[in-house]
Amino acid sequence: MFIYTLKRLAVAIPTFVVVLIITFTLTVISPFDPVAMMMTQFEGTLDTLATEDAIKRIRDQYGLNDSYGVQFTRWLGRMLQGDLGISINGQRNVLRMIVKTFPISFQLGLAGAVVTILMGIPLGCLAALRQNTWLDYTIVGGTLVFRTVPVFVLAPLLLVLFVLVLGIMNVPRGWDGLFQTKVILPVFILALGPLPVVVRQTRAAVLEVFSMDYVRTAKMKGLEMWRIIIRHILRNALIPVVTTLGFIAAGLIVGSIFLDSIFAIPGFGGVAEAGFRGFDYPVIMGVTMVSAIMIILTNLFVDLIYPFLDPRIKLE
Amino acid sequence: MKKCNSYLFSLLLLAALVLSACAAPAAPAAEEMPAPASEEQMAAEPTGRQMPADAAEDQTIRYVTRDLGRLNPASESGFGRPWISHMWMPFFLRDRNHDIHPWLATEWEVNDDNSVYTIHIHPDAVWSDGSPVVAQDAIDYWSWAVSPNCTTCWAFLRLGGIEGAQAVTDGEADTISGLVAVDDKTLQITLAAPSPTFIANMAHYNTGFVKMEDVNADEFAADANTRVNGPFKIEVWDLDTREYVIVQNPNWWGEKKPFIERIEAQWSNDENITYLMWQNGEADVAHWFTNIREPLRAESPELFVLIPYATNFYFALHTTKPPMDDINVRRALLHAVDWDLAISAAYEGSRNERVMKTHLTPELPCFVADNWPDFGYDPERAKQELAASTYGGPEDLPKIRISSGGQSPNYLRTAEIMAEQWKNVLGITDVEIRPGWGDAWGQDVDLINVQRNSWGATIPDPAAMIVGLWKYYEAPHDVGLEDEELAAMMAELEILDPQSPEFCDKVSAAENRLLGHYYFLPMIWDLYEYVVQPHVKNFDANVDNNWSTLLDIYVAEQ
Repeated sequence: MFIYTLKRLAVAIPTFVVVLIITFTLTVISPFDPVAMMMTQFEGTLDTLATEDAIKRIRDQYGLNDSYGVQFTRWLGRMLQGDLGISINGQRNVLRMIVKTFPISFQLGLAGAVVTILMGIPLGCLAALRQNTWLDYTIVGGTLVFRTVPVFVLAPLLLVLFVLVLGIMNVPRGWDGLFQTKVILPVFILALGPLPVVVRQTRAAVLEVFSMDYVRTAKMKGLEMWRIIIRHILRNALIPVVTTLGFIAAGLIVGSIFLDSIFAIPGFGGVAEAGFRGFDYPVIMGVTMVSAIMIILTNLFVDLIYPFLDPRIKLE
Repeated sequence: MKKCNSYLFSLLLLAALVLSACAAPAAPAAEEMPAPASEEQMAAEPTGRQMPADAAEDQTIRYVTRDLGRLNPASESGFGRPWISHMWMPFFLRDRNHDIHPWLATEWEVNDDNSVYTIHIHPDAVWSDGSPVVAQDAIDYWSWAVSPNCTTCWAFLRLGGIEGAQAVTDGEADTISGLVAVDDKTLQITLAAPSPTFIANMAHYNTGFVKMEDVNADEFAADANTRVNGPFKIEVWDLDTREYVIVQNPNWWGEKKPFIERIEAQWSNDENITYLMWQNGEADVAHWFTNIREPLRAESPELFVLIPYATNFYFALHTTKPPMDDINVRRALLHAVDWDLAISAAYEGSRNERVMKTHLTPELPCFVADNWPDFGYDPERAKQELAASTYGGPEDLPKIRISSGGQSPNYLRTAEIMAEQWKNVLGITDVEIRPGWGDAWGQDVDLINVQRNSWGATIPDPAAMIVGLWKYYEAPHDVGLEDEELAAMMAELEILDPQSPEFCDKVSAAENRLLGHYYFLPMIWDLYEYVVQPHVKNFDANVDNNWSTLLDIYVAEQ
């Protein structure tokens, strides 16, 4: 397994470099100028704002007037020394931004994934066991409804319900740690996104396994249903679900842009949003780098878990 | 192996349960309320100043805005403005009516030709650590602030006129030579060229200064350890955790202590959430309502406090390029559009009273509402003007390329309405609109002949605004206005004393002649406002978007 892991990591390096080159190239050749974007937000509140001199001076300060090659080499050189540069829009150290925000998103994303698992797998099982009944339709249809409503619509609606209509809470804002009441709503909303995927995948897998000979044998042996489900059905049905869950967790960690914005959570999603909004390429590069690492590592982790779930799978 | 797998599964399940503990019962609303003031803040309560009879016990303002950036007087241009002049005091402070009052300085003098200013710093002024505020502090910080080392700093806009400032900006000198500390409390400023209005810059928040020992990086951002010389200081200003709190400076030297003890700023990029907080009583002052603004205004107009910015948003016509090189085309394009209707449609009724009809806005001195010759919708005149142009009519008119200068739907809608009206009135169909700036046009960038732009005056000097616009647009590039007589008028304005009885007449005459070049198509004088709960008393803002009455603001019992 150790050799396998090393091989996979070695293959990941060129993938990582290609991702960085593509992202950097797209950012530099894009028609948007981060300095102009930055100045747009101050429009009308700063006299002589749009002068070419002012824009050029700031572009010089960030080296944006240099050629593509010079910019990329400089960024790469600094990155290898652990320096991801300074955000153009916020004038802040990008590495520091990521180091401070990533752990928050990591906790939030993981909590979201766990809630997805705890809700999705039982619901998927239940839907399969009651296939083509009203319960099945309700579970599959209900979770799909939440999936189709975008976060930026669902979150304000839920807030209106809980804050204004029911009056049971204030608008949850900021971050004081994972085990705080203000985290409940963001985590719940985060979990709703991938929930139908897990439900449907679990349902399909359980249905497939349900008709297997060994399940029929277990039933004929007179085993209790819950024991059959846990020992014989779920264990086999979970393999494809685990694959999906890996990617879901990674997606939840790096992709909570709207939630960070709505709940003012100082997370990685907020950094990404600010970077993309301002075409702030040091931030975009930093965010892409971390996201790529997350996806690559998650992929590897999922592969390493397979043999534990299915002894027939060998890592070679 | 089977056992091992069972253990692993159980372990995963356990971990999942522990993490899911976040799904604890909801907290009662009271838990979300601001924490009571700490002992230190209590000690900082105003002494020797009677609190108003209706004042609440908790003098905390909860402020919600769209964005909050690093705090640095030299770089501030965003949303940290409200209190920056109350932390690092400029020498003077403006009120809503643009009148300048002593702030860090007590008085100033100027020589006969307006080239040397002498400023007297308040004798009691000290930093929050007790050390005296001296003239050398300003020299040190300003010299850094105009240098290339100060990343994304704007101080050169205020201090660039001082002798030797340009050399520092160009990296040829370390210190601005035109600044001399006559003694600890007297600063002498020699200008590169005489200016009767230079003192206005000394009331601008960009000229507040930080003690240089606290400036620890070129991307300097103040924190709780940064010394201040004003009535407020930072308790926490963390852009990463999004915590922003300022509190009273217990060592402030001024006689008039503020009532407000604490300001908690909250970042909200989502207008719906801001409004929810507003409705739920979680915000005392809110900024940047857009879509919700007009319904809220209709319901409670008394909640709105205008920031008296002087801004112009418009489409500049590149008079050096065809077909904008013909003034008759420019006039025709202006007269073919019903601007009141166009702006009302483009801004969905939110800027009906702010259609740009002159450069000077109603907030500025010397404003004359109808100073633009022949401004207004006149389709017949427009047709005649196009016919009288060298192009003769729409058929031979070169393509009009409009760059929206940003992605705002308002800009794009305005551009689309203009194009539609040109088609209907003048028969012009060869018009292309692209969102974004010049970069969006690739190799065709030099062919853009209509570029949306903006101009703002945070120094409320009408002469400076008109002269600034002239200087920018006479430069020989895209617009490149040529007018010798106007150049002479502008030169006179630059040295004209604002107190002189003919000041406004001369400003209006220059503006009228400038507008007569028809070098832009108007959009709006923009509108920036605060929404303030009725229990926040004495709230007001000046042209710099400073809460200019902060010493008198208090929270009344609700």
